[in-house]
Amino acid sequence: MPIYDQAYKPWEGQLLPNPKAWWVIAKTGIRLMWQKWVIVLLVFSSFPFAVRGVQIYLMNRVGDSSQLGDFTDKLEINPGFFEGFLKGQTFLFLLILAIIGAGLIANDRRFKALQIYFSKPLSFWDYVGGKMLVLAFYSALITVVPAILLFIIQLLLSGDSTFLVDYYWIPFSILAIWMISVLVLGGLILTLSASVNNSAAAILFFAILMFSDIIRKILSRIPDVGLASIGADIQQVTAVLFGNPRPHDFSPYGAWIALLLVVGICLLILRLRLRPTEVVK
Amino acid sequence: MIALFPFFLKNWLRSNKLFWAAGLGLFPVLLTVLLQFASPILANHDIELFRLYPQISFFVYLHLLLPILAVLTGVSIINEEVEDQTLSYLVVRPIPKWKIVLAKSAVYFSVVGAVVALSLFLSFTILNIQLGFEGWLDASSKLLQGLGVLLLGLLAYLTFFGCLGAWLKKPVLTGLLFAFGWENLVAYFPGNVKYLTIVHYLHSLFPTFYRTKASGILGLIPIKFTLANGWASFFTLVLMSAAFLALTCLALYVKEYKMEQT
Repeated sequence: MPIYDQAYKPWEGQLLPNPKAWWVIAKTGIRLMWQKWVIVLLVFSSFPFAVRGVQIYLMNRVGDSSQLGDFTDKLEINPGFFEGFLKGQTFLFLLILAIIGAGLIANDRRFKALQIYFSKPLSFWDYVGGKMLVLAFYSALITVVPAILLFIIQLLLSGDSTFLVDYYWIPFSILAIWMISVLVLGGLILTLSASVNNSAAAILFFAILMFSDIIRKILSRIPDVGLASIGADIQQVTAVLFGNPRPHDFSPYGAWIALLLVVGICLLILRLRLRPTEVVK
Repeated sequence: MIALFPFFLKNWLRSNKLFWAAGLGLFPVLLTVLLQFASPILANHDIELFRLYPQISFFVYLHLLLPILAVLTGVSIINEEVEDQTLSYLVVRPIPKWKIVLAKSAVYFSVVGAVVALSLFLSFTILNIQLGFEGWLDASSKLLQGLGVLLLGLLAYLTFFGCLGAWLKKPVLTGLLFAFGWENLVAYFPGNVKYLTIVHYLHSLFPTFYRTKASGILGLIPIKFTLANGWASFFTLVLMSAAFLALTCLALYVKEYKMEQT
């Protein structure tokens, strides 16, 4: 009489990875997050873009005739202009990251969806990459897209190719800064989202960023303390990429290392927190 | 009302909010402990620890810990009952709704206030440890004054965020936008717009005030910045708190909460 093994039989075939798995996660995340309040935030974040657009128009029309006096230097369209624009968008960038990113993993944990995700042929990198792409998409709408549009407006209004010849590299710097910011700050919010609940992740995200910056301010006499501030590190790297004077006295190499360290720690924590529950070995 | 206070207090202490509040309150204390350990290095840069207290109390407590604790806890005064779907059980009891709001707010204020007070006391003591007991006692007037302002600020922020939690669907988003966007930006503006912030009145009452110079185009504009009168600030904050509490109570009477189906 045959004796049957009544235990759970795992899949014994080969698990083939789906190269587009991360895209499905990203697409779903982007669609789910496209809500009224996000649109309001995006509209709100377009005001500085409008102001900068007017600035470009003014500078191309009356900038050279020195009618603006001392303001001319401040209004000049140069790498500092684009760096200033991105700096001005920082708060909304952080807000978008905090509000969208806080729930990305926390909600999956809350509704026990991680088990369902990882029961499919989905790797850790697919999952994190997909979630990161959601953050990249929304943050691009308030940083990269308007900044590149401003660059194009300036090109169209400048009348000659001098600006393009001198500053052709600006769009690449904008893209690089956006990618670094999303990687570092997106990694941080995803890590918090994987560790605590939705609201706490958003609040802790701001707390960590502000706390590290306050330490830098309080101990401003020791320049290297600034390395502990993620915001200051990103500012330093931004200044290097735009070829502008550095806002802080610490080494930009130190800033690069500090940012890499943050990304490394975030990935390590994410790796530990995002584990599929193994039912049968 | 007196019976409600221990009930909500017990609930609060059982929840993980206490853990979060205490954890956040411990942050500045850890910072001061680290600074104490690093005091020989700081001394090489002419930094004396006890001179850092005004900056730590202003930047860490007034501008970071206070709004963060208030957002974290304040928005949940009514909102947590909606999210946990327990609001209906609460309001069907033969207790006036305003008493529920007042009792919950009082519990939140007491516990978070105690966390802030303990944290500030520890930070102040660690920073002034080298001055000895007499030096600590001499400087303690700053501690008491700062603590009083922080508690008044906590009352105003808690009631404001409580009001947001009672009326809005996404109170955390609005709370963060207000605490770190509006308050940080508008409080340093010239003209009358700064009167629409809470932090302006706290600046007027706080023993120390630091202002960073505006950069870019704003830096070129000559701005004369003035703080408000002390008593006027005090009464404005008290009135604001009362108004926000009244609005939170009103929400329970007029708003129809939709409970999410799970």
